[in-house]
Amino acid sequence: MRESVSDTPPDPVRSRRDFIALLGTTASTAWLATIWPPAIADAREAADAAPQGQAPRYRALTEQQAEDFGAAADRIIPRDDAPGARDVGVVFFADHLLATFAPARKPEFDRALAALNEAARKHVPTAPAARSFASLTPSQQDETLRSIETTDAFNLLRTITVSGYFSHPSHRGNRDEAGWKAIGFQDRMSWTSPFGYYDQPDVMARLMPWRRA
Amino acid sequence: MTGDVRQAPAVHYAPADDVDFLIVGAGAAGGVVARELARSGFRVLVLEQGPYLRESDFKHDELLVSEGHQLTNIPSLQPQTFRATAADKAARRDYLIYGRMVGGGSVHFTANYWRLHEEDFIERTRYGSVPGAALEDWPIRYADLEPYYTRAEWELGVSGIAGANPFDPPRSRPYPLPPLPIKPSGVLMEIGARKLGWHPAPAPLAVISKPYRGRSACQHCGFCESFGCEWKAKSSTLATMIPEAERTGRCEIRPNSYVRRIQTDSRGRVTGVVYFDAKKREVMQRAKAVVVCANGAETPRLLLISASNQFPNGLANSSGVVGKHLMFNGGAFAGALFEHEVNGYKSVQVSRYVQDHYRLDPKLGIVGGGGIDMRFDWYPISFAMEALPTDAPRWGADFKKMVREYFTRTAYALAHTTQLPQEASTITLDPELKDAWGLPAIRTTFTEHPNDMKLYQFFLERNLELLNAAGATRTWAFGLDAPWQVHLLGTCRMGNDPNTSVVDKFHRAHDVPNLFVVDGSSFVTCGTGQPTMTIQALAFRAAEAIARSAKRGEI
Repeated sequence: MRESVSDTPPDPVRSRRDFIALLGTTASTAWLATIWPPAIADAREAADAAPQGQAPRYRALTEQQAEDFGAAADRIIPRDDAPGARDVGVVFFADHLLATFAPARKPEFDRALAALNEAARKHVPTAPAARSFASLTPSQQDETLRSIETTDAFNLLRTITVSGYFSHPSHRGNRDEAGWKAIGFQDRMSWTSPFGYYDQPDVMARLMPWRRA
Repeated sequence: MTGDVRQAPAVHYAPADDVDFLIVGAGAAGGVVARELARSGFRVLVLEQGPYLRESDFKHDELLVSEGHQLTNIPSLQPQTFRATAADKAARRDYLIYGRMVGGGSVHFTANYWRLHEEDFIERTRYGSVPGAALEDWPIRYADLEPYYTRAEWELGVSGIAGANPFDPPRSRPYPLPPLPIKPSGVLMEIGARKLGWHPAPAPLAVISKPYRGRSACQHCGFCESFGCEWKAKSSTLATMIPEAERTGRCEIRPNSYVRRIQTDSRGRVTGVVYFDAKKREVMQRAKAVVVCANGAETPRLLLISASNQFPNGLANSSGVVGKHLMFNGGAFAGALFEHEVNGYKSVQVSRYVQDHYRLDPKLGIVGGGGIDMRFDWYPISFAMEALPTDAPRWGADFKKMVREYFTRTAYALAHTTQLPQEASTITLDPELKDAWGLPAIRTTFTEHPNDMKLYQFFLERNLELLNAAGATRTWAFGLDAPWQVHLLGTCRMGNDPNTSVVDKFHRAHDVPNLFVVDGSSFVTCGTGQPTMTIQALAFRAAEAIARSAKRGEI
């Protein structure tokens, strides 16, 4: 693809954009379009449009499903000093996933939310039958989730939440890479040694005296 | 599929063109065979069921490779079934994962590149008859393969240090490239292993540490395992052999071409294949000879599907062993938390390994052995889903806290071990389930041999010992139960006896003179560890022998 290669790139390649620039001489615009899916922009648009009552918020989820799933997701990955699941767009991720990647799993998702609401009614008898998981208090929600935490229904909700929190932001979750920042992960096209604590030269000299020989 | 602008293929063969060699599968083996035969002057056509992707198609996107199956078999189109024993009814389960693209599994593999050792080829001689196992010696020895191991290292580009691993078998040349930099997990491995009296060494990797033959060096982005390399630093056949084959002007790579049967004539010779093109139209492609390089699952499946009146048990299966002796390599896996930043997500997954337990003390009564590396082969989603201790909280504030604390401070020990060949472990055709093309689905029948379980237990203990000696503040074990398998070996084993093997020692089918099988299915035993290098060394050796026979008019 590139005619000339060097031992290291001219500058640190920290992002996909830099990487593309590096390859730029042969990259066509069509090629670039495949790299930056419009989904990133779409996610913002959907989030911004919704309060103004413009485009429909969701393609696969109903509003009620979005509420219930969002509430569960926020108990699975709650906010601490890093954003919670809903903060980073996990509900939009679930909608995107079920509308594009995995439409075949929508019935399974519907059943999982039905099971969640059923458990909410069973374990919080004070909750009127018409109320949903989303309407419970956080501690009631935790109690409800604990009651189903070994079920397939819970596993599906957990899987989607975790995937949405940590996925590539082009899928509408992990907004601003907040999920990645929370765990110390950075997506880059290039790193240089030392990569962590133990491979720093002075640390290696101390921990691995045989290396000097 | 790709927005990349690429050159038109230099050559295109028509279905009626009687190409010299038709290769089924453009993966680790098929890419090598294609390049070698095309360079020897033959007209070569490679049919690949998957797409022809380019580096520009690769993304650091976990969902694209896991849920999107961008680089691998697609369960919705190619469903599989699984059963533990032949007495069970097989249930729907996608048990095998394999590369499905030009470059095959060599595109997404971790790039650990180990030679087998001399004793791996003679395990029957070494251990005698083992109850329940179909242990046999290979029809070739390490010395027969050594020149081709060396060729693979130099032709593909492998980084390492000759002699650093005292257990390494004899070699005729050093590695072409120096090892990649040591990672924090490699430092920890050296500390732990040396404390235990073991001999840690830089892990040989099919990733180039310096520019090599027009490709750029590894930039340590960390997305090797399960991903394609944007830098072309991983020495996949997509980055190496395939373009070189195409540059001869005699080799056509035809993607999205799914072979449905191998055709034979009344003399029992292969005349070509019938495949589905991208639009599911059937095409009969003629060929003077066929080389099947479709992997240890797809290869036996294709031979079984190609049954005819003349070959009622499947093509090249008069022995009845096509599909039998399926092996994956065994393994044992443990994790550890360390005090400081390990940041395993940067750079290649593995930088150090040990082979002190390649063969075990005979007093233990365990056949085979294993090698151990320290690694980090998680990405953010898979880490949060699967990498924590099994008793860790799975949701809520404590779960989140743990993922945040552990992600940058964990390392894992993985042992790759012997798994014994068993007649009852098989790839067969599912009698009911069909794929999206109407062909019988792959049915896997598999249960570990008791010796495999002993190795698992032995190496789990070594892993934990290693991680503790390295200074872990906490360690944990993972169970043996593998959710899926990736090394597909042994299902068309090579041998001198046509009654007990499918191909001869030069990979020619005993039953069909112009049919060859070259991939992981040729393995007689799985050996002690990583198989890809041996698959590719076999491919270099087979291609040379096939070209020689063809030039003498002996095909």
